[in-house]
Amino acid sequence: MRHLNQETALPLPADAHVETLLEERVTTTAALVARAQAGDTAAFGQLYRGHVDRVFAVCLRMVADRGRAEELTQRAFVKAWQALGSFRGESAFGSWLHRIAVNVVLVEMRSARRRQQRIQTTDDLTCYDCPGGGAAPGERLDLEEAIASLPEQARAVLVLHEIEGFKHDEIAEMLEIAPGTSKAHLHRARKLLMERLNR
Amino acid sequence: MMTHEHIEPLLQDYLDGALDEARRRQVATHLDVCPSCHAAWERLHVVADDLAALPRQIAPSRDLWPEIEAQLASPPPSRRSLRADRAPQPKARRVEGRRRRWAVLGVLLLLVGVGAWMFAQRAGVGWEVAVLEGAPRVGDRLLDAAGRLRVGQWIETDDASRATLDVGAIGSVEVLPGSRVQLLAARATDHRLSLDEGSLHARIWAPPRLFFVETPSALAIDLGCEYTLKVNEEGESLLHVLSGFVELEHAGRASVVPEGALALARPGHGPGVPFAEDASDAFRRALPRYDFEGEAAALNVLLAEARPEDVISLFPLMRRADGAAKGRLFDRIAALTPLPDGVTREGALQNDPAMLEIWEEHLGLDANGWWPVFTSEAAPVRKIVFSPKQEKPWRIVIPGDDEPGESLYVTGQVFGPDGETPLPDVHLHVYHTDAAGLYAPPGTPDGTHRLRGDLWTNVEGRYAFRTIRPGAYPNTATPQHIHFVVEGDDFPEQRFDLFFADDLRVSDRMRAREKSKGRFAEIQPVKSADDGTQQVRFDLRLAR
Repeated sequence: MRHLNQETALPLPADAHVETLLEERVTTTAALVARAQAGDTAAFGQLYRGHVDRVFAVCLRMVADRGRAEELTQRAFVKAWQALGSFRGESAFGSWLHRIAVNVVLVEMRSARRRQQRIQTTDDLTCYDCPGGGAAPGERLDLEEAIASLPEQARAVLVLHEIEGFKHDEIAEMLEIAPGTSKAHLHRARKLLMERLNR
Repeated sequence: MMTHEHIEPLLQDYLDGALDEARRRQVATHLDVCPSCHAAWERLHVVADDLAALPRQIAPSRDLWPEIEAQLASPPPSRRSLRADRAPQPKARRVEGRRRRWAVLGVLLLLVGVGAWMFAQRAGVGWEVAVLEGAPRVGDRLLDAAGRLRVGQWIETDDASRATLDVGAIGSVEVLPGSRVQLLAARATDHRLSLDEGSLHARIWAPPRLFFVETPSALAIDLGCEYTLKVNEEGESLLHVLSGFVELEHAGRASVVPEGALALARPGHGPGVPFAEDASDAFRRALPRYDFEGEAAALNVLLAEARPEDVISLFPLMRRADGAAKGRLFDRIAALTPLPDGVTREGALQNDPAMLEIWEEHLGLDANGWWPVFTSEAAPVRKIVFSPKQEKPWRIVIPGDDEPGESLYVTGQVFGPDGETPLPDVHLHVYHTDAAGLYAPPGTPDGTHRLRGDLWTNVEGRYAFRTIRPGAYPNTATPQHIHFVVEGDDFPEQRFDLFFADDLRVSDRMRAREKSKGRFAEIQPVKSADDGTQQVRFDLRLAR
């Protein structure tokens, strides 16, 4: 392979004055957070607009249900508002919020499971865990549908690991499972995905 | 010999970079010799690539804010700890069950690992990494010289490290200090990185739309170019195009950013309009305030500060604007650059498509110029391309949009007599027949070449042009060809003809003769892209 330019490390253009634009934005977010911490809901509304798509994406993929995902997104922002006092700015606001959203989803998933365990005695109504669930034989699912058809825990691990970029020990901590279990879920999820995508 | 049940579970660890070096090598070698495992590996790999390439943002179908706001009103933010969000500890019984399953799985993995011990190796799928400074982290290990970044893996540089990645065979990316980059896909038609934080510097020498960088705020689509991209901790991106063009896209909003321009993108907003490198500080500061936040006062600053070069920002702003702002933007653009015939204020303000097109072209903001933009979507996103009328362009588009014929890209590099030293600033005059094999319509004087262009090699000796595949002269056996008349500072005018290897009129004798010239042969293979566009590479060696 030939390279365009053999001298590596091309000097970057002097756009330091442009970078201040980015820095200013960080400051703006910090300022919005500070205003929100002081009780300014309009400032929090601006933070909401900047981050809602990211939060909704993780909620939707984890629970595979639009209505529930919208509820959870709302709950995540309300939680964030309540916890704003503890946000010290050590991490980016976006990642902090993202963590909260993931926690809210996980808490909900656990309590939903407990509810289900109480209601369902022997009949497995949803059949989430049935092999091949979600796809009729020969039907080809698209990727998002295939993810949605996965068993809940496997789906959660898959979304956190493959899409959200968390590591197994982080996922294990969030889901309160062993890191090896997280890995096993991931492997199983991928296998099921391949089956359901008919690959 | 191991059965496939033994290697398949290992493939996932192999994919995740979780195998130790010895075992990794064994799996790799087995993949080389076992077609069935290799097929399984490909399937896994494709799924993992597709997962990693899913969008990180999805918009809810309704505005969730009013309900959130209603719940905020009463309790002011408290000092409650985040840990309150944590769920109660799970029941011990469940954990125990999981532990047992884990133990069983561990034993299985161990057995599998021992079984796989005899396998040999193959290079993993991914891109080469060369460390330039320090010790970047690739996957779970620190790299001190060179290694491989596999699909799904992250490369992280601290303040003292940087590295280059080979983008398949189409370019290179330097990961600058303080960055976090993930390889999302390494396919021939989809080279894809995710830049979560930090900066990178990309140089790509391939046709457009093969190299992508995802950031939290936009997708950067290479249109054949060199650029730097920075992402701050809030996920905002700053793109600076050093040569060629880059498109930023997010949720249907797109900006095409030309050489010498920058653009910001913000999470939730997507890309902003481009702005010139030398726009005034006040202009740069006001731009995002107006473009993203709709701050009316910022528009005053933009209008007051704008120079003719800043039409690159004002024009797309005008297209997006409504009401009074649209009119004010129109008036300012019209004051900075004369209005062409056929464009009226009324028409432009009603977004008359034909009128905007005339105006765009007149301004040099040609929507379809330069490298064309291929989209297969039913309703392609409207794109603005600013193509400054360069004095000596190194890439050009020869035919008009309605020229009949198959689309063809010709790219190449011009070298000195040694065949190694690239020659910058070499003048190429190229011309060829139309799809019917004619240089000019019947009746025009001989020697008229309708489809022709002039271009000059860039600092790397490169040139590129888009045109249509020429037709052969009617009723003759002369193969299809493009004429090149080439002249450089220390090189007298010399002529070359490019023929196409897939043209049956090219005789065996010609082929045999040209073969001896190696890569500088004047018969070159034609590659077809998925969209049917043909691509030819034609390198030239000049004589003194």
